[in-house]
Amino acid sequence: MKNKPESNHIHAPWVRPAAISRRTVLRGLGASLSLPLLEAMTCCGAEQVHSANRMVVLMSDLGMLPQYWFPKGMGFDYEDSRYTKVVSSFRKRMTIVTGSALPGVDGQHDADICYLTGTPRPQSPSFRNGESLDVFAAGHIGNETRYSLINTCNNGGRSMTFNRSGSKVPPLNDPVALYNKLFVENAAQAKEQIAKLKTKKSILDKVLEPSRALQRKVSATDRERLDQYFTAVRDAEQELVRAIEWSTVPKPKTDVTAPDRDAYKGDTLLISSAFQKLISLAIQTDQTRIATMLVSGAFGTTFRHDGKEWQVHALSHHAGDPEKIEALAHYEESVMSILNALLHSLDEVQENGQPLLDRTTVLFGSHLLNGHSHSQTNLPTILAGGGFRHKGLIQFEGDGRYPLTNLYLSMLHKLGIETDRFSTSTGTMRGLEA
Amino acid sequence: MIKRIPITAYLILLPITVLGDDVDSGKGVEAFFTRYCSRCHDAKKHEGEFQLDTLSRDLTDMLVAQRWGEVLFRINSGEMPPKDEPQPSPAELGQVAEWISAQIDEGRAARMAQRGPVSHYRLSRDEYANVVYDLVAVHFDARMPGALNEDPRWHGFDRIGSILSLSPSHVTRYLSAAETVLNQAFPTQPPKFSKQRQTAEAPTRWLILPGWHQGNINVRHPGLYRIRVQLSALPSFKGRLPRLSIWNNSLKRAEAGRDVIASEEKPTVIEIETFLPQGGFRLTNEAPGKLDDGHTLGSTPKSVTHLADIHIVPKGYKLFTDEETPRPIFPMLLVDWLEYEGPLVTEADQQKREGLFPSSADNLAEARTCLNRFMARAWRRPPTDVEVGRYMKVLESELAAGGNSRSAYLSAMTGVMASKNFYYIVEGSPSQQQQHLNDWELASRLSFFLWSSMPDEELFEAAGKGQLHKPDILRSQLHRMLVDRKTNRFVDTFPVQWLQLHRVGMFPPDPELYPDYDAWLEQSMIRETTGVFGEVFSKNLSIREFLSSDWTVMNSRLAMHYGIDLPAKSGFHRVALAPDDHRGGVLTHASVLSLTSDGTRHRPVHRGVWVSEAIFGRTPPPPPPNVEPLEPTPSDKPKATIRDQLEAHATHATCASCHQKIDPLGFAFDNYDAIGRWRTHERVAGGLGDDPPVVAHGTFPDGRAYENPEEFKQLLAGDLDRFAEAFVDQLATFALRRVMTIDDRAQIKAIAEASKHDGYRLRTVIEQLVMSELFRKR
Repeated sequence: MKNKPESNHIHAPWVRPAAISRRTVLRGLGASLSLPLLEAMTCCGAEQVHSANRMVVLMSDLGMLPQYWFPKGMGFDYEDSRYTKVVSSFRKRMTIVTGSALPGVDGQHDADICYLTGTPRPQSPSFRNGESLDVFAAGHIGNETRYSLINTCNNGGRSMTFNRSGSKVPPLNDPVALYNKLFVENAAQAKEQIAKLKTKKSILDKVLEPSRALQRKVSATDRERLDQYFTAVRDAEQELVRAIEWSTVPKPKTDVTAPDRDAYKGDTLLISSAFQKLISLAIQTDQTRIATMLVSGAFGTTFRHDGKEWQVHALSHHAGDPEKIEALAHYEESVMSILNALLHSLDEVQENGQPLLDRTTVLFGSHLLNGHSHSQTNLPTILAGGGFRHKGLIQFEGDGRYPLTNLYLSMLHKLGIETDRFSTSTGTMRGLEA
Repeated sequence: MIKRIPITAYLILLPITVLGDDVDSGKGVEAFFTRYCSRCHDAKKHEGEFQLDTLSRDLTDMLVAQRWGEVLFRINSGEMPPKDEPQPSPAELGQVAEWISAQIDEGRAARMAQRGPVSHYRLSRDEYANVVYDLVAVHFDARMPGALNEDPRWHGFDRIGSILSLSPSHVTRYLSAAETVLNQAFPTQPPKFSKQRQTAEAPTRWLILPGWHQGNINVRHPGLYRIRVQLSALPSFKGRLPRLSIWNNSLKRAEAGRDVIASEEKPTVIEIETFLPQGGFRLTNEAPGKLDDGHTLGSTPKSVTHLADIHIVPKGYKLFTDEETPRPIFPMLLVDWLEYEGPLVTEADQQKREGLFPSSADNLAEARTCLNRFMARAWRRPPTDVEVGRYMKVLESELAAGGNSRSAYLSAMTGVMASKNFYYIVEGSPSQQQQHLNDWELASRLSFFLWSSMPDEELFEAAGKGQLHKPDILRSQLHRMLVDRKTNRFVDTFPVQWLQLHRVGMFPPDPELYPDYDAWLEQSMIRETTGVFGEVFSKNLSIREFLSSDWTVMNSRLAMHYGIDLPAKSGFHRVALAPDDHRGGVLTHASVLSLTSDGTRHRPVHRGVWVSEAIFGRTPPPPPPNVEPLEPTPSDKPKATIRDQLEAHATHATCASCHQKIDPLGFAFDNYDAIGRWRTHERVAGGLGDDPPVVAHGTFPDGRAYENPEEFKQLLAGDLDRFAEAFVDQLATFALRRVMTIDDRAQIKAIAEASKHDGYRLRTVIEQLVMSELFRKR
């Protein structure tokens, strides 16, 4: 729960672009830091050089065909499956987890909203979602960058990102929009833009003012509603403050060209791949430290393969048809390739003599194991990078319900966030001691 | 964050039936718990840190309800009772599960209804757009990418207060939307009206085949435009009509369109009035779907004088049949000229804006008067002096910061629209507990119910005089509102939400199995259902027509889909149905039959659940997770229908108890495939032999039997009182923006009963609801 507002004064302690503690030296990128940032680095050389922690989540919302997902064995000696083979060059730097699930999370397709929140029973009438892992992490380590969090999804309606009051944070759906956010300056309008932002902020100030007295008087139920309102308005205000502060800091330059919207034709894989490339750049240029991408095949999205256009969700109900299974396997293999590209992009960049991947915790997974049966236990999960002491393959015995939220807690700890639980966690993940 | 509830419930069940007729009262279930569960889950053993006997039965408490949900989940998932314990009969488990579900349902209602002195109901984005239009006459496309966030739905309803949450992105988007809207309503310079004309230069005419574009419409100022086109429009030899649409070049979508039919010799002039955003537009022929009927489009001249000229020039393409009188293979448009004018600002539009903007904001007194007026309308109640003062401060501080007077005043207006008093419907006051709505709140409830928008001047006036709550005034306002054109919004919204039509096309039909399916068919399906609702509404017919009727509303595309002979005609019409059309009533609308399918196959269970929710107002308990899906018929076995598979599939102890209630409501429609076409045999992939015949008979749990979908519909229609109650429940959910509770049930019943005297005519039902205590209660 958010603190109650005490006064009109807006605290925005994380907004300090004037003293950006960015100490990253980037090499071999399609993007380079702009001058002011580099200057900041030299002028403040006396400061402790430190590396920041990051997190990227890649989620595929129809699960993975079990016959191609499960590797065999234990530890680092496991035998690759068709899918894990795609990322086999990272064998030593990742942990595959089998036998875990989100405790109490049912709801089949609709449980995508719980993948990062872990909140049980999305279908129950009294359901209220909780805060998602990415928002929680961004609240702690997202403060020093232009964007505290970047979340994307190829598919309009869906999202796995939820704020403190459990409201959906809509993801970016268009790679061009992300590209513009990252690299396109609107210099001509900058001054006018700042004035506009300031006006907006002062409007929100006024809007917020009168409701405070009200908040003290109302009942618990309404307070919850008002609390949501205050959280939303205050956060919006802080976003504006942040935008105003950052509006004077030039964005990094890049020789990567803007994505071509027309080339995707709604293809889930092409859009997701474009998002992955941009998210890699966003992390590399330190414009955000938390990024999540939902690769959504749920309802109506398509991809092209073998000269045909396929509907992903329809394929997931393949009913045993070998041709459909093969097309689906191609789709899922392509998602694994996106993960592989992500890992490579983070690995080929050094920060303070260390691959960026070692500072970036990457989670790959799904809220379903098998889209055909909608099974929600034994979820496909890979943890990579982040400086963990990786374990190869961890298999939890039992009914496939070891709390995945325990892994989330382990991730938060690795990111340097002190908390003794997250959502339904019962502890950190067994077998993955840091 | 939700607290984790540590329950590891192990219900030990003995093989004795203790459940009798006492289930409804809960006594039987209590006996069941006492005798079977307490051995482990009592104070002594407290197995799994869970004690059932002391678990509260007051499910209005959120945490208690969650715990019961957990118990239900364990039973449903088969985890309880453990496999090494004696298994109870499916009937026993089913009864317990159902009892818990019902308790949760009722508890839910109470929980959602727990209201403090003030309630906040956020506007849905469609309502936001309507309000903005009624407030300052600006058409705002709230669904455009990046405009406003999509609203979550509760069983189809997108206006339920407790689930319409607010996130920072809402707040920023409301701010941007307000700026856009206000700048358009009160521009620095009024936009120049322009009128343009383009011709194909007679005697040549523009040929527009499906997917082609001709002409150019350039819109510099967004607003209302009138487009007139003279054209001939020829259906294909299969009867598909061409569709003239206004194509948005940058968004790549049609903004408005119309089916047209006119012979080559006798062109017609059609007029389309539509709101257009800034940008470029072209005319297109939008007839979609499988058009070629076996032929391919090749290079064809873009303009022609006579179609006969191109009959005889086959250049590797073919546009006409080989008949003696050749007919077009594709639906065609031949355009002579195009005119467009706009932006049109009507007097009514101007009137809405009058008195809201000061002639000079430097005159603070005038500015204050205007702002006061704007706030009263935007917030749907008079603002207090303190409130007006607060927004005057925005103006003053902008002026002090060197802003010009126009932009300073606009900032104040933006603030008014960024306030929660604008985007929330606020009911109640923090200073006093009020049982009933005040007149301003009643005006809003009424107008958002019937117009999906704010009250108009007359309704405000009635509220201002403090008279609206008086029954005769309320009734006369209702009658006035019912004949207002704005009720179109009710007709377009309520049936979509009640019948969950937002799910149509959510699982797009497999193009290989259903090559004839197209976007216009999908649209037409939805319009059949809203069209039927509109007809019942405007003619004030009985709600019985929804269950069973001998007419429907359709266009030629849908008639083609249904295999019904309908003379080629543009638009939607009321059409009489014959028994062998196998249509009539929403249950056999292609929309409903599609939304309860998965794009590949029909889904009897989904159809049963849908009937249960939409017609009976009951939601069956959710299925347990990890149910193995139906597998395809093996190639060495005879072909089996989905019904055969389902009936063989009920192996789980708890499946049968629920499914025997759900499935008979779905099997009745096995005669309709996944896109709602009539059939007598079910197409089955794989397996041996011929496709099996459809078996569409069944028996309700209470023993009533039906032989076919028609008899099924008659059974439902025969039980009209029950449907009426469920319908009132849905209508009240829509009107009151909250889920109905057990406490509302008596009043819902009373409203239904009061509507019975004239056979449940729709307007009577609406009037009984509006005049009820329920409607005026907070």
